[in-house]
Amino acid sequence: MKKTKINIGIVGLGRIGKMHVRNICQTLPLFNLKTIADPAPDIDFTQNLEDVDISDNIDSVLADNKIEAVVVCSPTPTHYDIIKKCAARKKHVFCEKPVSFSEDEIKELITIKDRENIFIQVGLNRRFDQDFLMAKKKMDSGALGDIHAIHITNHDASIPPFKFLKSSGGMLFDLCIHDFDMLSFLTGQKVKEIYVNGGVFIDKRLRDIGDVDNAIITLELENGVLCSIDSSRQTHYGYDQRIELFGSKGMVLVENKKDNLYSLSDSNQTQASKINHSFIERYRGSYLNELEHFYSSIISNTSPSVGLENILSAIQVAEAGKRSLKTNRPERVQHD
Amino acid sequence: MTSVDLAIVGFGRIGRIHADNILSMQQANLKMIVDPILDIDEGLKRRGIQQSKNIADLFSLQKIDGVIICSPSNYHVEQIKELSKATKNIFCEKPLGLSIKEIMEVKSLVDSKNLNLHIGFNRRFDPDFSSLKSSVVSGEIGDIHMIKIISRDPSPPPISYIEKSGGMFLDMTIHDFDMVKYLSGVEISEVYAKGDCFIDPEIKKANDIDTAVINMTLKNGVLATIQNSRKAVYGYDQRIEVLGSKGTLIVGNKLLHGVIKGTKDGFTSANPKNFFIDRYKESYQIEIADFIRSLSGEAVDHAGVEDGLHALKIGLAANKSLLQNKPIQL
Repeated sequence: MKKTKINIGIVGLGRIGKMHVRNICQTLPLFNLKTIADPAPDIDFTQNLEDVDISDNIDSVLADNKIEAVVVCSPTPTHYDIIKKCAARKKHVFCEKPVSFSEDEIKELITIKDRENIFIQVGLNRRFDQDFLMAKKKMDSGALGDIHAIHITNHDASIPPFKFLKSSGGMLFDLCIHDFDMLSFLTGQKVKEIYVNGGVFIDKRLRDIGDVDNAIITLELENGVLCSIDSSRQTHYGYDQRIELFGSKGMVLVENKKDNLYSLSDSNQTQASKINHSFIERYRGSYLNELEHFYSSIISNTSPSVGLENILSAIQVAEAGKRSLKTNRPERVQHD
Repeated sequence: MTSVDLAIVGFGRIGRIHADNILSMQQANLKMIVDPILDIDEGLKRRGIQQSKNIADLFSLQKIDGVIICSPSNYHVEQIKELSKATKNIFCEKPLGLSIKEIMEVKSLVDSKNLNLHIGFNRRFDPDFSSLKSSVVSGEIGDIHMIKIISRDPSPPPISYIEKSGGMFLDMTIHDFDMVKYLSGVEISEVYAKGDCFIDPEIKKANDIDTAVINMTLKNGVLATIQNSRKAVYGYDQRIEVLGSKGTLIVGNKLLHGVIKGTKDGFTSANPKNFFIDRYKESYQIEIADFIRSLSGEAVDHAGVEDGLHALKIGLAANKSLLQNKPIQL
């Protein structure tokens, strides 16, 4: 049976925007990408696209009644306005995380979404990673018994430019937000308390803006499960993404993916490949799966499984984490 | 090297390990074993090893070059004081003591009598961990940013042991606190510990915990974390990672065997070795061999009274942090 295509527009053509464009044009024929809006589109990239309108103005996406849904990949501070405009035109939205650094803005968007009766899916892509899904499935099946502890390792391979770091909302909002959400996703529990122990080792300028580039985070979930997240902006050996679920009957480990399977052994040592360098390689499948889910949600008229409520919860953990970094105390997470 | 005469005080599980290792060494004689509840071991008797229930009998020996203390933790300090009258060379199992005050007493004894005191932080002598440390020291991964230790026992000790152990942080985690100092060469300056009792309610009744997540800062700002459990059903889970400015160093688990089986269900491999005596076998041999070498005046790397003091201070701070739910500065 031929599937109905959904006409979409993409706003923002940075690194993640380009990735979504490639995914849609090359791998996901479910969508018909009609228009890309970016104030300064990368011509080298766009000239290879067929049958896609390129605009430097978001209005060409908003005013097009044929466009049913919009994928928002612009810088975070622009998300709130763009989503409001999309909602006013009754367009469904897929928005990259963290949507906003402001709880109030996210709460307002939840009200608008309900009032306008549109879907807003948030790009918490790791929920769609096959390996993490398998880990969750094992845990939910009871194979691990009662869960006692969860440990997440989330390290970037190389530190982003300072310009990005300054506008990223800080390490907790930008990088660890995925981990806060992962804890809730895996367990179905909210984070009750957070303590952040951070340090600046890589880019000393972060001190001036109150951010860190390494952190060890201790968390307690509402059901008492103890968790830790360790995070660094720079490993050199790759994008270190591991999860460990420890329970009364056993443990699940999700390990890193290597770039390739080659290794070389000589008289001194065995040399193997680095692990995947970035989210684009490591989470490739998850980005496809999340957009497929967005498509199915629209087609079947059911709410996406991950939305503003989830990012709100993660933002609240990040907020408490930011307080903890200042007070050097564990902080209660204010969920409301 | 001339042969040295040794004695062991306390002949439980760990005392027997040390005895076996000493007996396998040509340059050392095990002269006497002291234990108040000792059943006479005919095998040891035949090998000419005297056995006594009374520590005072040690003083009747013609020559004693060194003593190894393996008694319960609460006797350590008292016995060190007593035995320092007979020898300058004392090897004492961890933890050195259960209070700062008593360790300070040992410290002044070490200083005034010039004691050669070694503490049984055996993991320092594990070939994998000492090799990791060499790589750190030689700068292979640049400056250290983060240390991660996963340390889980295969099963909790008997409640009667837990009651006398000083609690999980002083009994079990103390190795990990020492490992942080050993690998970094820097002391811990702040500790935040969260823990709970998930495994056995009897442990809670004994006023202890069985699961912990610990978050620390070292004096030079380096971050460190320890994950503890008293019961990992898959074995003795002992892993360390150090993350630095140029890369990472990782020590994984040692497995029971090296066979990997692949079938239609996938691949299976062995679990980690499930007992500390198996996992750390070499470390016990090396630490005693090094102690014996030190008897002739040779300088060997070892954990001393300062290290015992550091580990205890952190353990006590972790206890306090757990009670108050806040980080404790040292």
